[in-house]
Amino acid sequence: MNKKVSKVLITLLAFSLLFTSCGSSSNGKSDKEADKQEKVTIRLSTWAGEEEAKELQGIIDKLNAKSDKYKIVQDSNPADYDTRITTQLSGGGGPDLFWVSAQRAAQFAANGVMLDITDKLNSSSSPAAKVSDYFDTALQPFKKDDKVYGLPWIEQPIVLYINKDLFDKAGVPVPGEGWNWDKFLETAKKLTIDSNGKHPGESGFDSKNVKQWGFTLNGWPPVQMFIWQAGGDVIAPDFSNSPIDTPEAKAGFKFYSDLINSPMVPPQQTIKDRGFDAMFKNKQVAMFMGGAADALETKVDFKCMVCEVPVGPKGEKATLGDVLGMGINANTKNKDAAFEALVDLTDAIHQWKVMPPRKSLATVDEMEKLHPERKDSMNAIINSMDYARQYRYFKNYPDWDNMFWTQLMDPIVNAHGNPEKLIPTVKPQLDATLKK
Amino acid sequence: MENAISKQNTSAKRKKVIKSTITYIILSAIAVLILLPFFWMLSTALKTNADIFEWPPVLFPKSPHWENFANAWKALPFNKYLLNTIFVVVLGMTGEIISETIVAYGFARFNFPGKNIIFFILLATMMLPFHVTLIPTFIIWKKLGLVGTFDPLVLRSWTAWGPFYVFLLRQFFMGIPTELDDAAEIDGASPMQTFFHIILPQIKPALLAVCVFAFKGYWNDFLGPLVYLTDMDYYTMNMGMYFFMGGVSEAPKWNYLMAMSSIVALPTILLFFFAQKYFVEGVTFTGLKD
Amino acid sequence: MERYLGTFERWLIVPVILTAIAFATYYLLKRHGWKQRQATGFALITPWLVGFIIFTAFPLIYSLYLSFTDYSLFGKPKWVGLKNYIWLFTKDVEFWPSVKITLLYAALTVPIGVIGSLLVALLLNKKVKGIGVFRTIYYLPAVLPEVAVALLWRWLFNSDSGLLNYFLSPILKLFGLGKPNWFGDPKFVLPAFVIMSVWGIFGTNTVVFLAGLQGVPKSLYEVADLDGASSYKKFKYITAPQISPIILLQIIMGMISSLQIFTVAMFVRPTTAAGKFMNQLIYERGFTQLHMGEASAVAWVLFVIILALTLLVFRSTPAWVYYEAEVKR
Repeated sequence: MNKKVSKVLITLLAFSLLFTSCGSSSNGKSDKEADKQEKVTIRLSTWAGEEEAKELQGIIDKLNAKSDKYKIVQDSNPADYDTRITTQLSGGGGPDLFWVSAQRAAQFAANGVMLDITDKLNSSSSPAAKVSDYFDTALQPFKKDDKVYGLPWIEQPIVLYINKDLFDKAGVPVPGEGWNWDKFLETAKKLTIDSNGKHPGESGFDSKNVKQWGFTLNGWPPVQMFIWQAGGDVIAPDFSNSPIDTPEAKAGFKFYSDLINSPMVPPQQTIKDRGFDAMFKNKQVAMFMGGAADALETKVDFKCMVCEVPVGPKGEKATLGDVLGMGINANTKNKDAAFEALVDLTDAIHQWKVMPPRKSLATVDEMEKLHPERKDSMNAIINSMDYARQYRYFKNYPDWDNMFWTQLMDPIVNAHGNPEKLIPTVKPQLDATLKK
Repeated sequence: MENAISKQNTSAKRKKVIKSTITYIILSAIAVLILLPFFWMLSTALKTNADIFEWPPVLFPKSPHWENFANAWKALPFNKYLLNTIFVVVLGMTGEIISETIVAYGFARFNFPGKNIIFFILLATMMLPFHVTLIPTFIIWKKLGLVGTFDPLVLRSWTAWGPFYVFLLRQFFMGIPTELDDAAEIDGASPMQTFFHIILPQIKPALLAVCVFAFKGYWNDFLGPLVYLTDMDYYTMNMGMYFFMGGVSEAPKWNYLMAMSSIVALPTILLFFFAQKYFVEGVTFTGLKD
Repeated sequence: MERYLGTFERWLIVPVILTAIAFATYYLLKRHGWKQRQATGFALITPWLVGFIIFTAFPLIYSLYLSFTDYSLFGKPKWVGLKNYIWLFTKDVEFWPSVKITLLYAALTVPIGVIGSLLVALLLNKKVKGIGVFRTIYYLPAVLPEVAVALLWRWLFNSDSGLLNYFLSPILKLFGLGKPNWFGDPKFVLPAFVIMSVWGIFGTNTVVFLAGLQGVPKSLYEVADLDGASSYKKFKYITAPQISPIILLQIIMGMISSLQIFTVAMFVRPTTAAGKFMNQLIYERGFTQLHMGEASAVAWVLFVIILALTLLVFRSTPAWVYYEAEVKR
């Protein structure tokens, strides 16, 4: 009996030790914070890799030195960012600030994960807080019902990178005004050369022995871009249905599918083997569509120009604007400090990345000042901002996107699927996800 | 008569030589296949990032950059990450091996009501995909106030949280005849003494295997650090390596990644090499040793 | 250094608490009339039990509850009864192909894995010179981080210059076939993953069997040699029964892990025309689409499948598994 009592006492003692040490560690932390004289630690999660994290730290150090309200601490890792941030936020933990992709931002805004900063923005004097200065495309994923839940720090339009050396060698003019689908295809043909120096369409052209392709395509860039250029859409503005069966949309799908199956684009197998980007960098592909921030023209050893993407058959201009941004954890304990940090950091990143999603900064003068090494490319990039569009996000967008890719685009890209046959089957499935 | 015997001996010897030669050939053939990916890893580690995408791919770079190993290590605070990883590994391994041996022993050598059902539940915990238990588990640690520390990675080691190892050790325990226990009892050994001096040595190969596996498990753990470590000062080697994966705005540094992967793989390899030497060569069933 | 201290302190306290609980349990059970051996046995497993009750029981039950709800990971779960299950079984386009490909994958890889690793272990069990080096080489596949392994696969399966197609090309030429597009062609995705599972033969699985083989009493073999038994007979009547507990272990573990394949698939990103693995589906539904209720339902379907198969295997064990120590009551 005595033994049992003493065992129970030991257990109780041990438990109490355990929990006091838990408690004391967290108390210890808050004591330290009180000592720092109201400078709140704001934890920021990002997906930055090694170099980006170092550059970001430089920016953060400057901001921390200037501010007397907050101290930003970076917690970055490219590994599985989505799993990490979703688990931490959903589990009641998570950082105070975090980077989000446009798709996630729309999801998080719809689910109340990010703090509503509409009022704070209105009363803030920071240049990054001026809502009207932002491009609509960039701000849209962060808005829900006219309330703002975060701020974008980049909107990069898809642009066309061309290997000028290969263009010159083939005697092909660089893209200019009015460069539409037909001219694009023509150019691609002239830049596709087989081992005997022949082009597609010439007799004796051997599509199995191509050594240079005019263009490359593997699901990226997204078909939506071309559908928009044709005047169509994949999700109706009122989210009632997916109009992929309109003639305009079909024109976009057909263009895409024809292009992928044409000899001007390497076989999907080859692209997987040699690397999508790598083939352009290795001069095996003459034209490449990538984000403006990829800055390929500074990373290759040949003359590379940045041009705008082609216009559609009716002259319509459209490209995808890829948006990334930052939000505040709705459960943060330091709303004011986090907001200060958010606007200051957003502004700083606007000076760092191409392109800032703000009209006041997206001018030729500003951009040449901030990025002199890319000043020749700025015209094309800035023009693209005018007609860059976003996907139409809604609450179950990932469901829709999953269906769109697995049932429609994967077959078209990887299995020579015929859009005409696929569209009627997939449309009702897509409509169902809109209604879910 | 002698000739016949010596002829038998020679042909028996020849059979042995043929047998070992065949064994060596098969062993080596497979070994080469296994080593090929590792050669590729090393060769990638020695290239510059431009070399890696050369077409057609080159197996060995013309100018191997041995300094990639040092540079990869210096690029990030791997000294800190190494210390963190060692901390987690030592604490985790110790707790796990001790607790799981004890729990496996309980399941193997004792009968109590509900034993089979409970053991099955233990197995069943492995059958639910981890993504659905990830967040509820996180919530528990959050409520304990221990997210952001190393605790979620090591405290549970004392609660035998590796069902595979418990299962494995239990199977090995059940392979030891109970006559040994009885003989020990007759000789006057206490249950503790029986356990430590009779039973445990019998499963040395399994114990060593579990040591190596447990080491590898903690050394290579990725999901735990990903979710529970929120301070870059706390990162482990794996998390550190991931920085080389680049991200949205930067290309992965494959050479540094492969260099670090090689370095990170080294301790486990060495541990295994030394452990396998001590796998007991068979157990003699001759009763108790004094 | 402060980052270690707190954890270290708590790490020291936990075993003290667990031991106290074990002792307390022992005495409580004895008072309840349990025999000494029974009480000891139960007390010995209490460390696991404590961990289970605190950390595993709640997530298990909670995930089952979630499978009957609509839950976006944020906000409150909304009870919807069987809606998720009905949707999965009747309307979801991806569900049944996923079940099919997952089961097929397991059906192919478990036998290959168990038999393969046993054969390799037998090979490595020989006392030839330098066997230690070979054993270490054969363990190497296990030490690589998963990132590296997935990248290796992408290179090996490279349809143009990959090693696999390089070795296969003479055979392919014989049949007049082209080089398979391993990850791009739906026909080849499952074969590709099965081939990748061969890599898993080496590493842990071989070592487990090796440990098992090392534990077989040499004297048994000596007796058989005296009787002039062939290698095959020795294997069938000595080795196999002696290591049957380990074979059981490997079959169950093989089933559990193959049905839950995830990381490789996520890294390699094959075409999904033939179906996604169930664990991929769970991740996508839960973490990407924020339909945790649906994801939990898929997870529990997978759980039930694994459970049923495991039970079946256990049911069969009296016929072929031999324990040296059938515990006396």
